[in-house]
Amino acid sequence: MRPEELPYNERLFERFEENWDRWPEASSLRKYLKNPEWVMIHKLPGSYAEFKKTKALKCAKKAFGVVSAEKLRKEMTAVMKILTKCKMNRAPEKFSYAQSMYGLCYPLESDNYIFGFIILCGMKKSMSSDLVRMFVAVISSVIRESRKELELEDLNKTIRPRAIALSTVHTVHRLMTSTLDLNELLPRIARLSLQIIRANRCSIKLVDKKRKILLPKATIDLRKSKEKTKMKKVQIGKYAPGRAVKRETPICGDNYLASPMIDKEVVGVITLYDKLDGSSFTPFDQEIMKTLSEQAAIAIKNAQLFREQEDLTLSSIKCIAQLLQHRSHATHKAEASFLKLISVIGRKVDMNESEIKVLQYAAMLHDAGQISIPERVLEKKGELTGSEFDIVKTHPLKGAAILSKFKPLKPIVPIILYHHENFDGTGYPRGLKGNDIPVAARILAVVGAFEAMIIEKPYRKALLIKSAINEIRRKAGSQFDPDIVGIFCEAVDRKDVCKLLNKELGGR
Amino acid sequence: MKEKLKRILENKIALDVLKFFHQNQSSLDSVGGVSAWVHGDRKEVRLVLEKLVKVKVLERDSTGGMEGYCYTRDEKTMKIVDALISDV
Repeated sequence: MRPEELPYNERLFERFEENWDRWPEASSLRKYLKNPEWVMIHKLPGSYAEFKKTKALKCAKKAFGVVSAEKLRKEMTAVMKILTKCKMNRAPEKFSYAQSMYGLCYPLESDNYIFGFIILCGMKKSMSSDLVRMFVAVISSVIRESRKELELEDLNKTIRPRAIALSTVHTVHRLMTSTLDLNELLPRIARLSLQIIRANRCSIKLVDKKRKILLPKATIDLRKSKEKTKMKKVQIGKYAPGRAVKRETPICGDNYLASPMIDKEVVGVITLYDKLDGSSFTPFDQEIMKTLSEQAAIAIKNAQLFREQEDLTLSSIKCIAQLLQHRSHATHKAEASFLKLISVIGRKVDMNESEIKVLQYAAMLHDAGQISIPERVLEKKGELTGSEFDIVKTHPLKGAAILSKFKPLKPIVPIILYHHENFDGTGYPRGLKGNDIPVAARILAVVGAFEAMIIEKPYRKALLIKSAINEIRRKAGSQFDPDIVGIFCEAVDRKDVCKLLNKELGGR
Repeated sequence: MKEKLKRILENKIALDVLKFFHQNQSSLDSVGGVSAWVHGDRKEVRLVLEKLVKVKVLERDSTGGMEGYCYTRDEKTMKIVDALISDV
């Protein structure tokens, strides 16, 4: 048995013995009393046979010198009676033996419980009352200190793992809430759950309210075996995940733990299987998973809300874009190709997903300002007059002004505003040059021009894709950023982009 | 890996950090959190954590400027760490 597993009073006795040996006041007292023998016993011996086994007898023998066994037994039985009296009275008891030897017995008490005795023997004179009081005071302070140490150890044993777990849960929470993308969030929750519970498999299922089933959304299987977990739908109420959702409480078996994710209502369930060391899931695992599942439920709901809001924004953008197409009589057939081109170019220039999304929104609405341009100017066949071109040049400003009113579209405003700026500074509305033009606007300038060239309009024929690319190449360095043109040419040459363009434009 | 790890563990903070993760294998904590558990300076603890990630004793989960460190799941590595920690 390890010391920390012993009953409290035995641990206290052991700690008292250790502390007594190194206590400075105890050492001074020992010197003052001319080094008597100290005997500490956990329990009073019940018989002389037991007493013989203690250090006290050795001490007595030393005092008696040569003595018959009978005499020793007689004297020691008298001492044992004193010890019993000491236990009864819970007070120090002096005793004498071997004619001129003196001793003292004192019960070690904590919370009205005697956890041991300290016996002093081999003294040549009896201790004075003052000395006994001092002795008792020193013992009491050692007991107090020993108790404090044990309490601190016990607290450390129970509170430290909880504090570490709390800190872990806090870190997990921060890692979870740092994304609003559900596709990124769910595998992350699974991975974090596996790490902190040290399990081999994790599956996350979300509730489909209409169909009353659980849909598998993320599974991580870290087993070395080839047999991998299949993503299965589960009916609410069936199997561990289904039961956990139905009962709204964790369900734990030998090798699984299903913890429902609840935030007012059940969002889904995290199920863990097979602990890394082969042990069973513990109540502590359940406690941790309960907290983690609650946080996961909030993070999932936030991500779902964010996705709904994004869908709403996208629908609004699509709606505005369609209205614009009607106005310009454009037969817009290559939306998917342009969005794909933008995402390929955006990634090449190290844009993140949200920056690419913003650029795609801008691409759908880049000519929103044309709504304020008279139709006769927009649809004029042949060259525009100076004043007509001045009107056309206002469309980025007007588009930016209109779109800035719609809060979710604020990030696209600068892209719309500067997408007709030329790399050499000859563009409009501000005449910005080179890298002063935002990179997103430089990309949109290239893709927007490409789109304008290959889409047919009632007043102008469409160019072939090859001719449009050549035209863009020709204007690299003047109208367009040459680096972006280079990336564009690579992107438009990609198989997936070509395939999409051919599909949407009918192989031009 | 063992030799590299031995060299890293010549640093007391590194030893304390590794002991912390070996004894608390479910822990996943930030630089600030680990610094508090081992009573170490944040900068030094960050350096140590990165060194331990490099030798694959720890794993780093980072996202949006937030970093969490956790212990390896590899049994062989755990055995090596166990032996090294008991030797020191």
